[in-house]
Amino acid sequence: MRERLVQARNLGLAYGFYFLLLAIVIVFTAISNSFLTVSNWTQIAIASTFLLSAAAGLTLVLINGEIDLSIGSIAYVAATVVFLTSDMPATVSIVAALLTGLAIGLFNGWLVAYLGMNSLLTTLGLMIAYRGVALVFTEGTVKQTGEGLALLGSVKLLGTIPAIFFVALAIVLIFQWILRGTRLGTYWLAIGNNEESARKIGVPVRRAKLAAYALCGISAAVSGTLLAAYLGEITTFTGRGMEFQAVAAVVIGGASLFGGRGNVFPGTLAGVLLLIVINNGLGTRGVSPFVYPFVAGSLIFLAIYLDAIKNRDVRSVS
Amino acid sequence: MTAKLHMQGVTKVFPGVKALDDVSISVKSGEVLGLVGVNGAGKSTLMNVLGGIYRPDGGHIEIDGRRVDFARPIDADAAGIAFIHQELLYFPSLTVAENMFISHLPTGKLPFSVDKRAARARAQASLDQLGSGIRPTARMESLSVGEMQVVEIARAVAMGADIVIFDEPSSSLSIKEKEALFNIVRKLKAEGKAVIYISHFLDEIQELCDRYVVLRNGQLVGSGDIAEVTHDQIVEMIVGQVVTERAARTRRKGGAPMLSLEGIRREGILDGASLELREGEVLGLWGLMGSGRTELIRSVLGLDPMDGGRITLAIDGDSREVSHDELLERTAYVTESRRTDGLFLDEAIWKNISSTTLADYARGRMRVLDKAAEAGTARSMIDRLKIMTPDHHTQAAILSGGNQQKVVFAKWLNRKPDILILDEPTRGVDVSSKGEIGELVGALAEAGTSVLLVTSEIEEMVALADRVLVLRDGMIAAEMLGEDITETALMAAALRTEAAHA
Amino acid sequence: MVGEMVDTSQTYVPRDSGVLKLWHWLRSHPALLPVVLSVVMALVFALTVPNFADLRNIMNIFGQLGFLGFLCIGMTYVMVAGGIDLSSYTVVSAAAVVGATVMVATDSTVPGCLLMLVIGLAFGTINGIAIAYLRMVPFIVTLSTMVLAEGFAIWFTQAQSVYGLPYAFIDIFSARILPMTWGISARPVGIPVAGIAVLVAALILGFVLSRTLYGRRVYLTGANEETARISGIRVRRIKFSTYVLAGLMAAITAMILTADLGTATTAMVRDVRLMDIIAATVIGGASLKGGKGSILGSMFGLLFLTMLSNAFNLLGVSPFIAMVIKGTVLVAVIGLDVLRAK
Repeated sequence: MRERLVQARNLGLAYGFYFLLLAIVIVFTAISNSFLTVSNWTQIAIASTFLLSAAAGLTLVLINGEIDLSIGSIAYVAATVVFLTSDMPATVSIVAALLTGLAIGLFNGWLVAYLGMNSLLTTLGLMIAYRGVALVFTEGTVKQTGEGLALLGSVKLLGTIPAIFFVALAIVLIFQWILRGTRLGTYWLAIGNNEESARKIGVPVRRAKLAAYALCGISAAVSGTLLAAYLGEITTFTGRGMEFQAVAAVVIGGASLFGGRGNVFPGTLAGVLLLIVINNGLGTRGVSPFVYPFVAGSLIFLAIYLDAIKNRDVRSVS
Repeated sequence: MTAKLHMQGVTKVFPGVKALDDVSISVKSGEVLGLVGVNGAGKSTLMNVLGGIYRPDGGHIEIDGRRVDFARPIDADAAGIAFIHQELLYFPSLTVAENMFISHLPTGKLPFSVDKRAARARAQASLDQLGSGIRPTARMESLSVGEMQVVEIARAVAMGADIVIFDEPSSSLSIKEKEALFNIVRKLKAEGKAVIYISHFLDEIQELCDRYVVLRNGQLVGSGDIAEVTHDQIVEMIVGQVVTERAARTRRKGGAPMLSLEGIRREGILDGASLELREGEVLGLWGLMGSGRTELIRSVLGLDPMDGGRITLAIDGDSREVSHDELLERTAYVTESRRTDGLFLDEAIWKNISSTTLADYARGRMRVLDKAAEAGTARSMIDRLKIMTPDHHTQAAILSGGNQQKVVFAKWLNRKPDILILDEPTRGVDVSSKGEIGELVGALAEAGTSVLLVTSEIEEMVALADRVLVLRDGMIAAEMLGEDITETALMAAALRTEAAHA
Repeated sequence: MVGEMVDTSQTYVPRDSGVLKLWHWLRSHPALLPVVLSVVMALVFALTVPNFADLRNIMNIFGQLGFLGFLCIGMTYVMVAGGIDLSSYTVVSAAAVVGATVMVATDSTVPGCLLMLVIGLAFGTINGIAIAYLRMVPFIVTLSTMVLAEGFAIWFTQAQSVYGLPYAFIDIFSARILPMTWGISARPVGIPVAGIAVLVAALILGFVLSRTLYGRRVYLTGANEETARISGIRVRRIKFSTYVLAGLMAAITAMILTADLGTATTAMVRDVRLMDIIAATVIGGASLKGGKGSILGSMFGLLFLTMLSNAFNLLGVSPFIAMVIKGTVLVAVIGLDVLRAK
């Protein structure tokens, strides 16, 4: 009997947020006519795109048992590079933005993996520094992207869904493959499980972590680039507060802040959808948008609390 | 048939100690060699030489008759030597197959990819070889400790090891798991692997091994076929000539009961342990690692969970049941590892010493600490315990092991405790400090303090304890009094043989 | 004779030992670094930055210490005990908007202030229970309460600022006393009460932390929780108390800032300021590993950063460049922490 209960609880802890997502979709469908419509789900897809593409990379870093709080600012820096190259062809803008993301990611990874600096505080400081850099170049104002890029941002596939959503989805799938299908991914999981053991057994811990940060940097840069392409302009709000939402989405999706477990697909995807759907659903019911930060904050608190409970059990077992 | 592995005249010297002195052993393929000896006899040093962790100062290693030289652990790996450690290295959220091949994942068709199917198949093959039913796709965290060990062995087999070394493999296994382990060891033997099996349990050695080797004080003191030796003969080799009791000392009788523990239980570790500690005695708690010695103490003090049992303490002559916190506040507890939970390493000596009785130094309504008084206490403790330090402002971290341990004693003596619990009080302590600590413990007991002593050092137990309780499988299995406390008897008790030499 | 030779060889003094000695001495007096930095910085700015040494500006800097000083004190206690608190700056807003709303509604000061205290303490209690008793990781707990407090403030005010505070309230907390004239200031300049308040708080709480029984217990808990626990210190209670204290400090900050701005908003303290608080505390000698730091160090760390901001302002340096510099300073300080630990 007791075992049954434990099993049920573990199932709940593992899949609880999927059930919650399902329940929320059902409730909103029931109480709002405009919720389950193609146009609304197109909105949800668009709104998910930017958080999703950044959260995918953060998942990899979290699986290593580290964190990167600078992703929102990396997104803004990448968008700023898009602005700085707006006179050039769209491909140049995109490549330059992604390379910038890669370079920043490598720098973050170097500080954490090679210098052994605390990832939380270091990336908190970098979050401010990178945003400052971007603001210097944009002078704190809204800037236009090149026309080519704006055109790309407006491409639609399968009828009404913007192509940018599929870019985010592609990143999710590629990262999931790297995580579960390659040596590197296995290394990340091992490092997140037990960094000391991983080192002893011959896992190249530093290089693996560096790679996770590099991919995280690229993924954040994609997010910023997609937002710039979609809006046709670069606002100073690009990536603001994104780091906390992304941490929430990843943790809700089943990854642990203690490292060693998690998936980009379907985990992080579901986490992002949950946050976006709640926001969207509240919107279609005409609830004040100012409730949302509180609801999201509560949800994040809950997710993190459950993660801690889950991990306390695991640790007491091992 | 030449030996698969031969270690010839291996000598290893550490500053001040000859850890190994001209030790030669050899193992043939298809043979199990039992390696026994007390803690500190040189078993681990010998295995560390074999594992490429230490370079020997003399002698050499031969495999298949060829001389080999291991500069790094990876060289031993490559030579086909695998260690099954007591503490397993594993990754709970990865699968069994991933755990087995983490450092040698087979490459798939796509660039950078892993051929998971191949990894699973290879894992399955070596698990089958051991006759184990563990699935390669199971998550490591879903396995029991015994199953994890099997995975580790399967990993060694899959890596092509043909010399397998087991380091106290059974200490954390259930009876059923032990059986499974023995079967695997026999299988390895049948497949022609050379096995070295290190254990404290002589019955295991007798059941599994073909030959035995006994180490004592870094020297090889006996070897031969297991069939030609009795239990008692091995015990004697392990302990050495029965030492004539040093200046036979009178064992204290102890006064009124001070602390009594009844039926202390903790899931999977303690199974109803009971004991009574009397005023002015040194009560020894004897047992192998993993018998629950430290766990009993930590559970009773509330530092680890306790699932059942009663704690009764005599306070000002009145016996009553007390909470963990109450006991902790009235007890001095010299822990097993002073660096992790005995000292504030980065702090000055005086702050360490006053930490147990801080409230005594608080003055006035603001509870301001009287630093001069703290320093005074520290200085008098430094004099009393002969702590070698420039002054009381010195950081605890930079003292020698012996002096660090004296600081730990100082901070507890400062509390003038009724009960003193000592867990490995002289581990990593130099000889002269060791003697001083021994004298101190005796003097404290003489003055009426109740001392509970846990130690793995047989000589220390014989020298200090007035009464010894033997802990086995989380229960008190036997009691020894006065003259019965001898090295042979203690060794025999721990190894589960009849105390024939009483 | 031989013995003497051995002796001299052992006491042979390497040439760079002066530097080494200085290094060891600095390590054992970590509060000295921010003090020296502040003094040097003050001298340099006084000579190079126009109007920096003006009495009005000095008083401004002093007043500004009141805005972040309390949060720095709270952070120091939390970090000395081995934790961290990221939530205090949004708790300021949560407390401010509720208290201010009540003040506007009742047109009286006391109930609003009490409510600010209650909310600050409530968030401190949540943090404390989760970290000390449920043994959750401080960074993560306070990160989520940070989001929660901000969300709460936005929801409560519908993202509007709260205006129309009682004058009595504004007068008390943003007052300046003892006007004086000095140097080129034409009009007399008063001493800001906020600055005096933080000075008094720093003296008292600095004394408590460095001299009293409770303070020592906070240090020992941070230095080695396990040893402290076995030595009979109730480490959970100590850790809990530091977060409650941090909540209290946030509430006081809410009062001072609300009065100074004349309004309560959802972003009373900008997130950039969180960097200042952490950086000041770490410059002041605190370590992420706990057991180190002091109120004196933190206050001078804060003074250093406040003068830096002030000088940038006077020189007309872009606030964006200031962000870059602040972020870099924090990263550098964390790097220093890593070096210090080695």
